Amino acid sequence: MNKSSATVRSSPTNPASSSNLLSRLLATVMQSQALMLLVFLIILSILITLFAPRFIQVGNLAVITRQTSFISLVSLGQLLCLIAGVIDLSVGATAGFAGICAAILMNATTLNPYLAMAVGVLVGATIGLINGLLVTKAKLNPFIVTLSTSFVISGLILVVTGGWAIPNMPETIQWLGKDSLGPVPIPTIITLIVAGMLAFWLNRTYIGRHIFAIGGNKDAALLVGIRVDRLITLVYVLSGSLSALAGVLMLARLASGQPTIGATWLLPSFAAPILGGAALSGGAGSVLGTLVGALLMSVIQNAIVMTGMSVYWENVVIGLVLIAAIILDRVRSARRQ
Amino acid sequence: MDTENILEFHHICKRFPGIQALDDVTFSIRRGEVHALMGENGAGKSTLMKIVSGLLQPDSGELHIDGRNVEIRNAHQALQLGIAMVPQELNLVPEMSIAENILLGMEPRNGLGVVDRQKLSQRAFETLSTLGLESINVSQRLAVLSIAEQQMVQIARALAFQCKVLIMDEPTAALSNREKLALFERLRLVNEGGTTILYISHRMEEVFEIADRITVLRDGKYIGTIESANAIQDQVVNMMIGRPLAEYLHVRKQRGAHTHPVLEVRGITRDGIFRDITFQLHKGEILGFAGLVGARRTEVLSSVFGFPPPDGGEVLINGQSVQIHSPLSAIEHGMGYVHEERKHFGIFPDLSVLANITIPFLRQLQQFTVVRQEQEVQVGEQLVSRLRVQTPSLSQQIAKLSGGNQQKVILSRWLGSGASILILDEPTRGIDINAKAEIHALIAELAAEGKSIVLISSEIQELLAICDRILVMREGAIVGEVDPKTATQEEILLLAMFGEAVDETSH
Repeated sequence: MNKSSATVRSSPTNPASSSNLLSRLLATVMQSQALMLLVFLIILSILITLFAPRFIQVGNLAVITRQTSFISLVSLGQLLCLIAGVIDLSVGATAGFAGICAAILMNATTLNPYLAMAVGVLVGATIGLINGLLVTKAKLNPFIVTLSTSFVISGLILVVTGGWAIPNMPETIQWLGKDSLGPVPIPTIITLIVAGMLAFWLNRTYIGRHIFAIGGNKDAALLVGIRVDRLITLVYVLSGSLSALAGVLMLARLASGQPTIGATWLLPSFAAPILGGAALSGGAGSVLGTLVGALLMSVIQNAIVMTGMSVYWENVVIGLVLIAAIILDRVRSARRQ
Repeated sequence: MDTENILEFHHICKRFPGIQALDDVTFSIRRGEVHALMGENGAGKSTLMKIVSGLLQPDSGELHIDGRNVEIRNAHQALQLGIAMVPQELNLVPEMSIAENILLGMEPRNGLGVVDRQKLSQRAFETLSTLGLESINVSQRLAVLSIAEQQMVQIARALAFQCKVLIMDEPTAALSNREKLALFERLRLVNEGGTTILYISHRMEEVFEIADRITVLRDGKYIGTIESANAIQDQVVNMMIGRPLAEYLHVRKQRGAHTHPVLEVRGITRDGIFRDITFQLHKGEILGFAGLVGARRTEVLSSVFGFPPPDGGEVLINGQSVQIHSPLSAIEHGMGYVHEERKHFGIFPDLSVLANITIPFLRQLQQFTVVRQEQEVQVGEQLVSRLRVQTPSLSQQIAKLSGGNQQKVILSRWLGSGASILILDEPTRGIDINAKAEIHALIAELAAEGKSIVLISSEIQELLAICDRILVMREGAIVGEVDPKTATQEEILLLAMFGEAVDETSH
């Protein structure tokens, strides 16, 4: 994605001729992975609608966007990791653990439920901090570190809950997961706000640009004075926090602390950013692309239900989509060289 | 029936976005000759070689091998046609044995389809013997060999494929003088065995030493082919740059005396790597570091830059003792470092030219952490025009520029950051003659402005032409200082080869 010049040209639009505008629009679409994906998504949606007309109803679209918001938040965390050239396999487990921590605080203490949710997010940040320090200070491999912490955390969830859900969450917080503003679900609004802030931070601040540089060439980044270790740790902290946010929002939506929250989010968290243009080798990726990628994943999940296929196909399809995404990544990196 | 020409290029054209890399190139390679291909970076040499070895396809034009028109669609097909390339960066597997590396992909098998180890070793040994390398034990891991020996393994690999044309891409870039001579001896053996050699290099002397004929490309166009026996160096240089040699050398100007030390290094040491390094760099001075491969010049200077910091010793900047524990603290003390390996330690290949320029000083361009983009573009434009970086725009991806232009972008970083002490490690290696002359002029200009420069270079001529003083290193120690106004190339070379560490008691 174009990080510097596109935004520079955001001078006041003058009333240029419309054909010029159209061709420029077309050129932009062709260049942007996110927009290409969006075109594909629209075509796919039309096809699905032909088979299952219910798909396009407002109610169903709300279901899809609500579902998308949780995957999006986790995927945005993964996006940050991918841009910096690392990975986080603990996003799903972190989401689940944050949800459970918040649920226990709401159930067993008199703590304000919103504060309990905040503590849940803080727990996620802490897990990210541990991941980050293990990767940067102990110099351990990100894959093994986060795979291990993922196991530790999912194990702890079972230890704490015994595998049972924690029921009866307070009514006060449930609007965060369940309500809508007009037709737009609240989790979707929260996700869009977070995504907007993240996009600005990544592309416009020097810290965000440093993160792209680290993923692009870590050794060169060190030599131009970038605090590589500190920023990689920060990326893990943000990834943990975003996953945890998804976890506590899911808690608000389900109104009970489910030990399995986040269990199926890991694979989509990779598929969405990579479909949206992130490079597995680091240094590239876009927030918009990730959102569209996440939307595509939800649409596919929804289509399986709508077209009457067995839900057991879901994992098969998601696995295949991830493989497609990785192939796309290969093609892109081959073209870059 | 053998044709006179083993390889012919007919009207080869290749276009990349924004650049005509090859423009109607027509010439031929005779069977059994050593043919050198010369030209600046961006002249089209590597593009042409990629076409011959099947990594790229031409837009138009024909390639004839043994008089037959062929299309080479991939590297495998090139091998089958008898064309093998020894790339600049060897593509061998360090963890496998030497024999396995030589016969990778064509291992002899026994009746069960299992690799026949004995035959494998035997054939690898035979191949190395044709290069006069019987002494190498082929069952060892490749990694135990030196770079020069690994290069031999790569040549042996080409021979094992029974190649008819061997392409050598800048083979001496990483070799010492002795290794270079050994390489030439082997190449002559290979050539006498009937293999045609296509030799790509920037280095004039060695091309004259080894090649029968020399072809020059410039800006993607074929300029001419000459017999090296009848040619003189100036002639080739003229063909390469289109102007006489005398114009670009000797940029050293008479500057005032250097009395104010900005950087003082006192007895720094890294265990087992270098020891007791002491020197001073004055304001406005260009200080050269000469030495052979293995002299550890890069290690010393990158250590001064905190990458990684030395184990012992002291560094003073403007008379103040400072602790430089990372590149960041070096940069904060006004230093800048251009690493010798541009690809691995220099550029961010995916990022734009602009992002590559401003990355070390984005912090200076921010307000509440947000980068001020108008200002960033302004700084970028100034630097690009001052250094005459040839790029279609600031948003061009840097990987698409030529080596010389990439190097200018990296240099411009440190002008933008306002660094007053610049460490330039082989800043002109692997870049074309015009860009090289421009960088020399820029270095002189910066010194005249009062910046202090450390220049590491393996080209003694370059050091003699632009430095105020030259320190010579050998095996991790400084072995002498020479005055470029009076010193000769031989003098420096002798110090670099045989010099003993001088006893530094002056401080």
